[in-house]
Amino acid sequence: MNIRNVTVIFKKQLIELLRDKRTIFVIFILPLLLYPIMVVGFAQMSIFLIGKMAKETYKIVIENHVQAPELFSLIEADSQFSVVQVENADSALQIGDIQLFIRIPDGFEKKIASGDSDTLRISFNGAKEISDLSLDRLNGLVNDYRREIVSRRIENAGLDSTLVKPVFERTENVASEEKMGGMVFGRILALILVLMVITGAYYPSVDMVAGEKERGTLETLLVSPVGRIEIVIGKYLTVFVLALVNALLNLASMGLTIGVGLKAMGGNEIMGKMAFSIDIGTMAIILLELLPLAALFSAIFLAISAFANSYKEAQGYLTPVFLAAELPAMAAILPGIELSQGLAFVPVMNVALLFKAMMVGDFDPALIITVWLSTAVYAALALRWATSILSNEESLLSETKVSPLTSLFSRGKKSYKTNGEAGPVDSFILYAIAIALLFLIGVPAQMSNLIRGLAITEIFLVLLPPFLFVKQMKLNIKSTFRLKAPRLSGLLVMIPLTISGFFLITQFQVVFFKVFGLPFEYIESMQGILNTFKGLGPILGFAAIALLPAICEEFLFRGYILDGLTRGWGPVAGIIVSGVLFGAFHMDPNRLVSASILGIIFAMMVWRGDSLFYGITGHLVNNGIAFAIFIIGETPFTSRFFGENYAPIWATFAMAVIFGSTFYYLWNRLPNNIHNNEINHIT
Amino acid sequence: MRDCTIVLAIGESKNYYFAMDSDIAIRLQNTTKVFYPPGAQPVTAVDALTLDIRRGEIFGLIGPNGAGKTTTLRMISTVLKPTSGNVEVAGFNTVSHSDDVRRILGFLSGNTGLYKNLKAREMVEFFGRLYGMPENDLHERTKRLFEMLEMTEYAETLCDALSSGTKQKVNIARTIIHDPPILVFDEPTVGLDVMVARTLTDFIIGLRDVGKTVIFSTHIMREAERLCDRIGIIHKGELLALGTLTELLQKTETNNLEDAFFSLAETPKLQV
Repeated sequence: MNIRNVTVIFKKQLIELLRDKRTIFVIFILPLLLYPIMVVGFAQMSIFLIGKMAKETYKIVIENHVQAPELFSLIEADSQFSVVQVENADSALQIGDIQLFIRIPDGFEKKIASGDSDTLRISFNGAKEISDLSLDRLNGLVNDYRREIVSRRIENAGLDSTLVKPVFERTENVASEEKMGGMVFGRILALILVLMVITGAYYPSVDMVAGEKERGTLETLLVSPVGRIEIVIGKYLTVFVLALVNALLNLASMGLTIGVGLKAMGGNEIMGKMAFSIDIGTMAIILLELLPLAALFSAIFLAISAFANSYKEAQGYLTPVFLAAELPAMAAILPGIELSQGLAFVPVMNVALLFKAMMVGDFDPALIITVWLSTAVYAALALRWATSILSNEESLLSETKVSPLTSLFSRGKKSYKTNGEAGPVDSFILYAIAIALLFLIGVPAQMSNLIRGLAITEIFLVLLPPFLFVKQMKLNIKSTFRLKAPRLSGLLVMIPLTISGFFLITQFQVVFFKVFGLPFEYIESMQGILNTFKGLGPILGFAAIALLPAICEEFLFRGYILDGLTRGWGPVAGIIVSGVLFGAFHMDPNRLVSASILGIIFAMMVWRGDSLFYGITGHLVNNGIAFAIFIIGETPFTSRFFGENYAPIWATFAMAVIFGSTFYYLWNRLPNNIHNNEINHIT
Repeated sequence: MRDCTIVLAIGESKNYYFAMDSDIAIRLQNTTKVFYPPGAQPVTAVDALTLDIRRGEIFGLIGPNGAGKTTTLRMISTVLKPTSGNVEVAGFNTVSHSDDVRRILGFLSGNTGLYKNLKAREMVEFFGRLYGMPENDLHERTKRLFEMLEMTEYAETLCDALSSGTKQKVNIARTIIHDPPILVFDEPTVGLDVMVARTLTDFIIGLRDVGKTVIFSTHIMREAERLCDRIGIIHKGELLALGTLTELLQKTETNNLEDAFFSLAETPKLQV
């Protein structure tokens, strides 16, 4: 790589973009305006809302008030009540002219003074919120009034007043002002910051690849003696720098707004509640975390932009990706979602969650490193991907290649309409969507009702999206999902293959447990889930834990995702990556490896046999065994073969032989599918 | 366009050397390019093309749209790799020595655009730098080229604001900034008005006068008749005929290139 060429390209790109009004606005002007506007807007709204509530006065009619002068004066003294007189109190209450109507019986306070009791009749209008609120307020007053009477009576009886109030309470909010402010405002700021970085990478990348293609300058660049890699790096650096400058400006503007702006308005009660401080150290960490995030999106956007032939088309591709990237960031601002060891690996969401935690001033330093590293790894992979796409002659010259994505997002165009094929990008997009849906809908649904939540997750979040993708892209359902008749012998052999595989994976977990001291949680975590199915009985339980996932997850992973990946990357990478994606989908570090292995085995057989049914059978058997072991419960048999200790060596040996021979049989006997040849041609 | 000759001649002194001391500037041997559009039948854009282009000639590649002209020129200019067969430019293989090939080529196509946010001078100098020209030489040569093309007054204007004629001049300056011995023009006059097109064709003749090799494609037969020393007729990816204008007309017993083309396109393969 010639550094000089990279510099020449970088400089030229920078000059070009800095003369572009839109870039100037998004990168430089927007950050400077956004935060002050947000703060002011936020503050104005709070002032408006709180002010409105505080100013509200309740109109109250008190009938026969001379009978209760003491209560009457209490109510009159309350500034929120205004005692009025109307002709017909009942109908005034109905139409909302007044909020409360109190009827005081004759001789009320005299009766009370004599130690007797009496009833106040209070009418309110439950259909009006304000009437409800006024009732709360009145109840408070009446309680005070009641307490006063009680203590007077006790005093009269010569007793101590603690007699009727043995317990006092005093509440205290342990959250500091900063935390409170951070909670409300920090969440939104964390989101905005992440989104702005992504936005910063968006425009330059569209302009630099698709824009150049459209203007016909890219070909000229390609015939000059610059290496493809130099072009890619030059452009990449430009996007990266602009995204970073954008991030810096956002951060600076945010810091200034919070540090100077909010403090200046600190006298105000509402502003005070929003105020929180960010110290230099926190700023530095935030900046550090923004680096790999900017690198990640620069690469992703550049690569996708290469599929488009024009600026407009590129926007068509990038907007959905942009929105998909926003989802995990948005999820981060939901209350209740906190950064954990697992979530530290979810791209975008991890950074947003970390920022949220930092705004509140409460985070685990170890996670800073995890978030940074995982994002950096994603960024490196994305850059690798971008280079391979941008170095590909055909993706750079307009008429030669049509991206599979095209058909998804530009339906109007005739040439892309039919016969599209899924590619790796589509697989990842679908996967990202499924993960996002799992977080946003699946997890909450399962928390409120496990069975219904699981059914919703599997059917609507796992099974439905790949079908929608297939329909949108006008793909062939049968070939994408490999819905071809399997061989009966193949299906039958899948059963011993999976059983022995299950056994071996369990032993594998034991090895991890014994050798590395990792928690033995494969079976346990499964059992944790299984326990909740106790009430269901064997048939429904089997359906929920084995049948449903076996069908739905196979359509997603061994159907759509596998198909897209193998088309783009060939069978080896396609099978392995789809397996790992499957493993990661389980969101459980303890099961990542085992589920990935399982996913790879199923993917191999589905690909080899060109039928999804091999995967469904295997998945069904695997989950079925887990469920069966649970139903059987702790018996000498289960603890001997599937427990925390090594199974007898003969059993492991026998299972290994069964696994090896069934695997060998299947691999060689299944019809080698025709996709093979197609792939060889395309790659 | 006489001035043009002078400036180009000055450039001659820093010429690049041919790797092979031969009369052949560009050699295609059984060159084939097949595209595999996803979800459709493979398309053979260029089919076993064998062709020599001599040093110092203007060679015209003639054929209708979709004949394979652009694909051929893109293979010559290293943008596309041949599916099979060889392409050599000045003795350098376009796949194994693509860097050398790009260094000695100048490339211009009809739909080549300019960076709209760069000034005319910046645009030309950017490419000069990519060709590794030293800054001093670059400024000097840019200045001379602008003078020669009578566009000095537009040097500091953003390309976006230039007229289409001036734009094409900037493109010409960009193409020859590094003084390439071989020039590739892919339908260079497409979409240009008559005046600008004429400037361009005059310029091509000027290039030959200073000893450059030019290969250019067009579907405008008149242009080819006026400019070319030799002409190759290409149709559906295959070379139908090759020779001087006179040879082609004699062989096909026609009076003009257009008739010659139709007579060839209807009778399969005829080597002149």
